[in-house]
Amino acid sequence: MWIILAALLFLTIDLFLFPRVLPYEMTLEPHQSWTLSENSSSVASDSQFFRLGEWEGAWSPSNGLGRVRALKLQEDVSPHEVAWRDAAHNSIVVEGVRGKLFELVGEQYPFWVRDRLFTMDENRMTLSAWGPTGQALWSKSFASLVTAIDASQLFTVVGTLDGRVQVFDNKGASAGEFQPGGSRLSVVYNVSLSSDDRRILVLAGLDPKRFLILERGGSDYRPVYHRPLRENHPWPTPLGFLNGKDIAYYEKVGSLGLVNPASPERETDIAIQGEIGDVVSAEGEKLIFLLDKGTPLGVLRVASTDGTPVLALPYQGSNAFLKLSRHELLLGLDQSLLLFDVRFQ
Amino acid sequence: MSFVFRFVFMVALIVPAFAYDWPTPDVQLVRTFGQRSGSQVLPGVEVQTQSPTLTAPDKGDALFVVRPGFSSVQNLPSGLGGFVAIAHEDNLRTVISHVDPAPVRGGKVYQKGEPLGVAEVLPGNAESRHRVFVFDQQLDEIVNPLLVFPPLADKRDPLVFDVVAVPEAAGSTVSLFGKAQVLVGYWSIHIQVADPAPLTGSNTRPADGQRGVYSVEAYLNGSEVFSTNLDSFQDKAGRWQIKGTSRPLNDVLPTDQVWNLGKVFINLGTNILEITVKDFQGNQAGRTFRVIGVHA
Repeated sequence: MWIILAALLFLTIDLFLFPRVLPYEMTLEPHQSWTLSENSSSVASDSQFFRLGEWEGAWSPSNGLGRVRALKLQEDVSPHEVAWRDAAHNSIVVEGVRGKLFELVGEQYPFWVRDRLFTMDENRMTLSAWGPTGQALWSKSFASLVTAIDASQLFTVVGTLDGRVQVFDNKGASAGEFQPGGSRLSVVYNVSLSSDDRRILVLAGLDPKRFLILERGGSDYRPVYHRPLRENHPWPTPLGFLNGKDIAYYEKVGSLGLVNPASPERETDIAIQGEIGDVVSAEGEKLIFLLDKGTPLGVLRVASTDGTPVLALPYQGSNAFLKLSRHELLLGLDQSLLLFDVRFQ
Repeated sequence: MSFVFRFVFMVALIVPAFAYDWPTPDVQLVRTFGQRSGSQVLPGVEVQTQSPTLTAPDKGDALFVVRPGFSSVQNLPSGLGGFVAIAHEDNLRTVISHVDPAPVRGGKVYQKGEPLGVAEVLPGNAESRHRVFVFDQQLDEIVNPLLVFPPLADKRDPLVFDVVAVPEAAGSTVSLFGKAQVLVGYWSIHIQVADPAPLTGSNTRPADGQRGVYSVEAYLNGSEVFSTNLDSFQDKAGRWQIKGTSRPLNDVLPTDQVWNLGKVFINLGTNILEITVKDFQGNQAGRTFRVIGVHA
C-alpha cells in the first residue's frame, strides 16, 4: 500500500515539477490532483460521473471532484447518469446530477451504452432498452447469450454467441441482421456503431477471428471489408471508432490497429505491451491517448493517427480510466484523479 | 459373436445419447429448464455441487471465456458471474456459469473432463450453484440440458397443487379441485404444478425443494387440448417459444409453477378433463376432473 502511495506521489510530483514538452506540438501539463475518499459533497450540474475500481464519483470541469461513494449493488455509470439495484425494493434506481430520476421495478441488471440505459436479465439472454425518462422502448429475448452491444441514439447493435449481429431501431424493429462467415466457428466478440450510424465494426468468429466493417446500404447493413486476425482471444477485445466515426481501432497481437473505415486496406499500428484499456482522442485532433495496462506498471501512451509514438508515461495502478476533452485529460488511477492541460501549439 | 455385435450395437446407441458429462460428478439438480422464478424463465438448468473444480462436459473449443470482474470490454452484467462457453463437434454449445476459468489462450480445445476452472462459491456456503445452458447452433435453439446430460436420480412424482378455470371475459376463476360446476363457454385452464426435489447441503433453501415439470398433457372429453414437452426454446421475433407450440413462452408459463394450457370449451352437462404431468425422469401425476357445464 505504502509503495503504491509513494509511487503515486512520485509520479504526481514528477509530473507537476517537470511538465513534458512533446514533439507533436503538444504539452501535457499537470493541472490538479485529488485523492478519492468517500464524501457526500454536492454534484455540480456540469459534472460527469466516473467509476474507478470500487468507487463511483462525480467530477466537474468547473468544481473538480464532487461526491465520491462506494459502488452500489450492480451499479453502472454513464457520464451523466448512474443506475444501481435497490434489492430492498426490487428495483433499479437511476440518478442524474440533480438526484434520483426514476426507478424500474423488477430484478434486472442495468448498464449504460453512450448515455442510453439498457437492462439485461440474469441469464444474459433478454435485453431491454429504456428511454430517458424510464419508459420501456423494447425488450428482446435471444436464442443465445448476448456477447456484445453498442448503441447510438437511434439504433442498437447486438452480437450473440451464435454469431449473429442484429440491429434494432428505437421501437425494437429490426434494422438489419448479419451473420459473419469465413471462420470455423461463428461467434461475435465485439461490435461498435459509428456516431453517424453509417458503419458497424465487428470482431467475430474463431479460427480465425475476423475484423469486419459493415456499411449501411438502403435499409440494411452489408459487409464491405473483412480481414482475418492473428489475435484469437476467446473474449471481447477492444474495438471502436475514434472521433465518433473517422478512425476505427481494434486490438491486434502486440498493437492497436488503426484504419480509416472508408478505405480500410491501409492500416497503421500503435505498439503496446499489455492489454488495451481506454482509448480516446480529441475531436478533430490527430492524437490518440490510450492506456496500455501492464503489471505492475501500465503506460499512458499518446500517438499520432499515423502510428508515430508521441508520449509514453508509466503509471502504477490496477484500475484506471481516461477522459479527454479538447483541452483537458483526466486520468483516474486507483485512489487518485489527475487532471492535465492538453495544449496544442 | 452375435453377443459381441449386440453389445457393440447397444453401446453405439447409448453413448451418443449421453455423450456429455455433468461438470462435476456430484451435481444435484436445483432448478429445471423452463422453470420460472419471478419474472424470468430459466433457459437451462441450475445445479449445485460441493466440488471445487468444474470440468468440460465434452471435447470442444473454448469459444467464449469470461473471468468474473476482469473484463473491461463489453463487461455486460448478468447473474452468471464468470462463465465458459464451449463449442462441441456435434453443433451443440454448452455454457457453464459461476466458474473462475483457468487462463486460456486462443485456439484452446478442452478435452472431456478437463478442468475449466474453480467454482465460484458464495461466502458462507459449502456448495456452489451453476447454470448450465445448451445451444443447438444448427437448429438455432436453446436445448433442455437434461436431453444431453446423463439422467439424475429422481424417484418422486410431480405434484399438482391446483387446476383452475379462468373465464375468458370478466369473472372469477374457479378451482376445479373445489367446484365441479362452471358456466358453459370458453375457459382457460391453468394448472399449478411442481416436482419435489430433495436437496442436501447448507445452501439449500426451502424454496429449492420445488423444481419445474417437464411435460404436461390435457384431454377434454377424450380429445387432446394440450401436449407440450420442455425440450427447447426458439426465438420468434425476440420472444421465446417452446418448440412445437405457437404461443409465446410467457403465455404458456405465466407465473411460478403455473402452466396455461390454453382455451377450452366447456359443454353443457358432463365434461371429463384429464391432466397428466411428468418430470424428466418419467415420474408422473395425473388428475381427472368431472366438470359440469351449466347455463347462467
